[in-house]
Amino acid sequence: MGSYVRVTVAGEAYALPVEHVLEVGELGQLRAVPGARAELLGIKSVRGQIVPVVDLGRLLGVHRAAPPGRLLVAEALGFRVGFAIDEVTGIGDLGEPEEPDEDTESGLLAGATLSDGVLVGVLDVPRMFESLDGTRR
Amino acid sequence: MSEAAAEAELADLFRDEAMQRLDQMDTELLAIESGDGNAESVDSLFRHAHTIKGAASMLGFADIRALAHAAEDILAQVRETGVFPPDLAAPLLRATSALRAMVTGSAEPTGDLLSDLAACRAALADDQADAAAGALGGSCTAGPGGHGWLVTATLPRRTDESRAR
Repeated sequence: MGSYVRVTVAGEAYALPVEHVLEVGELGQLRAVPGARAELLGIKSVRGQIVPVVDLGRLLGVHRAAPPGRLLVAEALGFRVGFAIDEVTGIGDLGEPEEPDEDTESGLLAGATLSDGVLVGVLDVPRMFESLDGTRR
Repeated sequence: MSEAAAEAELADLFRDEAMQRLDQMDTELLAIESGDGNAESVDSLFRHAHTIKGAASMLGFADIRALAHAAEDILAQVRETGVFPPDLAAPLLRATSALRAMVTGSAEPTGDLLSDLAACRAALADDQADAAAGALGGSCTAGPGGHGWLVTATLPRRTDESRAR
């Protein structure tokens, strides 16, 4: 079982496999993209590369009370995407995630696991990237 | 940083990144042309074209977006079929060279190139269908003129909220 970066999004706990996470930082200023899909908050330069920044809460369909303040840059399928999150709560091992129920809300979860009594949704990062890609048919 | 300065920084960043990616695409294309290509070369070409298209689209560079998209479409098809026809390297090299000109601001009209690339893509699709039927495919430069589209046009994605600015 590998290590995970644990984050909160709209108050809910999620985890991403650490091998997909490049860095975490302040969300900071974003440049808006007119006419873009709703979950694309804008773009930002991250270490010399232009990275799209996606509202992870909106992508997952969870509603947030406060705007996200942190940026998590993930990499999969050879691409980089920034995800706006509430905060990072830790890095470490998780129990083996159980297969999600067939009717989970988003289809972006690899599974879910209990950690310290909290249900943590384990995110399927490549599938998240695929769901963002509106240009592939 | 002012908004204008941030905008200029992003445009500079785009230029640098796109030029690097175009150089890498040329290297891969020349390797493929001389018979040294493999599936990884095609993956890498596809990623570069896709990333240039995405960044250009986000920054509002419509011409660059359209041309990178045309190249990406061809590469997606190649990736699917696993076959890179030898006569495909030349039009893609023309595309990277035109993209380089656009990125550096010495753009020229690309109507012909876009339609050539569209013809290549159509020929690839025909090849795929022919291959399924056991026949040999044709060349992408032999595609009839009215085969594909002249320019790509993508309407803005409809969002569930109106964006007041």
